[in-house]
Amino acid sequence: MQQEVKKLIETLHPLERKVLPYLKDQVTVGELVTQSKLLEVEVTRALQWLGNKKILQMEKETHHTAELSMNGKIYLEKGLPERRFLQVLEDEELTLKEIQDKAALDKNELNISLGLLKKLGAITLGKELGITDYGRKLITQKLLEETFLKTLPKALDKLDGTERKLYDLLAKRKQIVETTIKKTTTVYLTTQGKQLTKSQLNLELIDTINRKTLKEQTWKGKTFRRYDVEINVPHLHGGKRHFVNQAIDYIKRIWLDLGFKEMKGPLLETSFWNFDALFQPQDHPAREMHDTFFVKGTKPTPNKELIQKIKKTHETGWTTGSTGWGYQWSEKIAKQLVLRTHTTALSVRTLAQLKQTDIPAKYFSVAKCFRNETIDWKHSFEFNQVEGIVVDENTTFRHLLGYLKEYYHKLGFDKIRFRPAYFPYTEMSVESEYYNPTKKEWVEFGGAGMFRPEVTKPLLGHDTPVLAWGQGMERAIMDYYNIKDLRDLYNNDLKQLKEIKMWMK
Amino acid sequence: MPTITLNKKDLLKLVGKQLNDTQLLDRMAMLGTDVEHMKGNEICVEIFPNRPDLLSEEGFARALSSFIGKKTGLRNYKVQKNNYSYKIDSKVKKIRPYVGAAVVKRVQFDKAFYESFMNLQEKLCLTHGRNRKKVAIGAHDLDTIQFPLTYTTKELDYTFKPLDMGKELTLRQILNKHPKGKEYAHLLEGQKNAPIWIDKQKQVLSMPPIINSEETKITTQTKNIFFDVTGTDQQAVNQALNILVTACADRGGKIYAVNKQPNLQPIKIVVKLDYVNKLLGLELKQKEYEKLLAKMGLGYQQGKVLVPAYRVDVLHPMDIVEDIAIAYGYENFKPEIPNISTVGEEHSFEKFKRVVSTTMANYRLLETNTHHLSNLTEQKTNMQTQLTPIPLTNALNEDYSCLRVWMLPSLLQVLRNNKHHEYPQKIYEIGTIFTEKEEFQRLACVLSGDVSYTDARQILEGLLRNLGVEAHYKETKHGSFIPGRVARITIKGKKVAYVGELHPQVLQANSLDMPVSCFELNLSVLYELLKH
Repeated sequence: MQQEVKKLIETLHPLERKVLPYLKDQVTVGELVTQSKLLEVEVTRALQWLGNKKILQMEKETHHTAELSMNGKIYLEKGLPERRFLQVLEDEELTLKEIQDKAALDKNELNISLGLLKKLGAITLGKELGITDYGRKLITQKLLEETFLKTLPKALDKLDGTERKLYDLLAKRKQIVETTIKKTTTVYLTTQGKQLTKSQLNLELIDTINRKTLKEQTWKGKTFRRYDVEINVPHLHGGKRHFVNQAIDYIKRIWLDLGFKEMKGPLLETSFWNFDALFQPQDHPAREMHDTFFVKGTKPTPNKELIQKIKKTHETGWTTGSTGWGYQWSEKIAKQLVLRTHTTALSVRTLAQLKQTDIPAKYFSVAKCFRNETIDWKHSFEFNQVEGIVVDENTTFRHLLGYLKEYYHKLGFDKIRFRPAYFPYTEMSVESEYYNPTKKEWVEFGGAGMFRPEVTKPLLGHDTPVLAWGQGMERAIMDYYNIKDLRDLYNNDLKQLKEIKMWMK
Repeated sequence: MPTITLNKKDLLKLVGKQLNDTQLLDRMAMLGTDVEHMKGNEICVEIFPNRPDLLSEEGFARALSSFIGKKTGLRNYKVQKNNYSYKIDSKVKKIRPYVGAAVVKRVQFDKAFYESFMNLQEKLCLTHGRNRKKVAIGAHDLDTIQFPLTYTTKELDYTFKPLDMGKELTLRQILNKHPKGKEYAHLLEGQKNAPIWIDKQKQVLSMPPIINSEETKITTQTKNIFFDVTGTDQQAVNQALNILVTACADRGGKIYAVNKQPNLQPIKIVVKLDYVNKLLGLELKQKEYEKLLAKMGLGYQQGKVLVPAYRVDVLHPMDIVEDIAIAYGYENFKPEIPNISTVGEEHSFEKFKRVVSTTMANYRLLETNTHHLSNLTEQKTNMQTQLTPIPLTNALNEDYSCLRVWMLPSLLQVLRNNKHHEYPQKIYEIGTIFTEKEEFQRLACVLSGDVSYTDARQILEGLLRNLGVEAHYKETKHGSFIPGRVARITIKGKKVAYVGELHPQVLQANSLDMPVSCFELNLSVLYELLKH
């Protein structure tokens, strides 16, 4: 036991040491502040620490006190308005206006008094008002209200039945009485605390260590004050990269590790690269206003030769072996500027620049796209796509599934399925989905496929197979961060940004 | 994408085999349709725009029945000859030139068939027909019509009794007053005449692409049907007609020719087995190949694949390869990572960006991630500048109606939304901004709380020093900043950044009540400078 008290004493902070001598069996915080001559914040801190060490207990009490309010204080001196009302009637009958002036009442006071006195039968009514006998009697007596006001302040729960009624009546009137709430904290020593106060507290302990302590070795032969190493300390927040960007870095690394080169290109794109080069007919529903953001203006278009190839492919299939769409292709429509709706625009730009010697080639990007959609928990008008292409003479559909499977495996999704889908620019077209065990349903991740010869031949000059994918990124990282609503990825709440865990894959 | 609601009981009856819900959902998905939900007898499905033949119970059942092996192979649809005929007046050429027509007899409507018949026409016009612009359909009770018919035009004061009005109206009145007239009048905009189908007795059948006649309308009692299909694209018109008549034939109707239409001969296309195997990474034998074709309702004859006339999606042999893949089952392919040797490489600007971002985070700043879309008030008015952001032509709403021309307003918005959190608030972001000619990547940094010019300047200088760059700071004027507390930064003579304290008026306009010290640095320009 003695050993424990000694250890306890060694943990005491100087502030605790200063407060302890003033702790009698029971004392309030206010008293402690006065006696110890410490700041209130220092006392509170010391008490909290002592509390943590089970040296004392604190009891918080709330006191509700009925008190005089502003008007209440005035009336106590000058008399209540109803008294003043009666008094001016003592000698003569007066009109309301005259009463108000003589008794110096405001409109509100006049009306209240009138009502009250009428009810009591203390006045007579008429053009001019008079006083009754009972009224005269009242002047000589104390009013109940007046007696009550004199007793204030008084604890609210100590009021008896009559007093309580009077209080409630007065509380309805303008600023006569009010309740103030005061909180007091009373401190009690525990058994352990009582023992401690009996002990010698003035041990010489080493508190903070500084240069001097070390140089002069003043610590030698002394005891170091013990810290409470188990206590909570304030949070410390460092700087941090945005959690979505951390995940993007990881996804980029997956593709880099698989031997892919990164593509980069403009967000503001011509319809030519966003749609036409992808064999999307110009009257395709996806181009319509509700899906695509359009912007006025122009941008340089690719060389005439490529434009001609694309035109012919759309119209008749050119030399691709296709029938084409059988309509008249318009260069003007191809020039319309759009915010790219998919990073596949980037893939076709890349294909257009590939030389025969660059093949086999593998490219990827993780970048922003835009869709003119209303925002909800799973849609946003800005989102990221994970794009990839593989250009190789011997590549097959199975390879496409292989890359996607590996990618999702590295993101932690092993229950993946591929089902047929449709995109105007791929054939086979694939939708990759993962099984959400809580929702018990397949959730779409994104599109993939092999580019149609109508896409590859005009761009590459030959129809070497090209695997391609444009997978939604957001949905694939939300589980990790335990985020259910897409909007919570980008609401830039600084508290969330500080506290969210790092990407650790 | 169009969604349709299929009648499950009706569908399974047409398929000819009972499947439980799990099997049905799985097979539908693996056939390549996106099932939105299944509730009671209703199956809500998204139909891909390349397969309008799947827009009704008949077409869907046909595909599903083959796919599950119940009724495989190419289906033959016989077109019987008759004397039904029509003339095309050359006046229609400039308005709506292309026509298809057919007769289907011995139709037996029940509730399910009648509903699917009406829905199919509507969905076909909407999707394949691009909301009647490319293709519009009229269906009529054959027994109210006398051949030969004429497809011609009439002036707008010509009258007939359109559907659902109970009286005769002029064509002009139809365009101005009839609900369907008002909805589709834009398709005849500027025309003095409107297209009209008319029979031997001058009985009007329809006014394409607006409305049919009340006199020839289809009811549940109708036994024989005449179809008129008109449009701006002959191929699309034929395809719609083929889809309609084959759907009716699947319900027991008999198809009769009108002017040698419809042509239901399958299209022949050469698709070599080697080509299929090479693209899919399979080793299919000829027999398996033919069997898989049959599962998709395709035929095979003397080295050629026979594609039924209702399929509109086959443009290239590649489309057949996909059908083979679907028939084989996407779930049966063994995914494989190939041995294609290439060297991975991160884009050099992205590397640079990451260094910058990490350095900023090391200065104990938080990275934000804001939108590229903004509005004029935030970008210009509130900032007291003359910068003009590029507007969107079809903005979603006022808040997001232009492309941002600089970054700081986006970050001020973050501060505005975080006023309830503790200060100081120190944030940064790297993002794209849009000018008339180019896109740039910029770094913006915003400090708020007990901060001054020095705080932002220290970070900017620290960053540039870490990048090994020597920068020059010169006092300048900028509408957003306090005069005398804003500097422009040049590197090798190029302007790259501003740093300063925001003007209280700008803070007020942004509803901010703490001082802000900030900078915005053009990373694209800086990157180019560093490359040389």
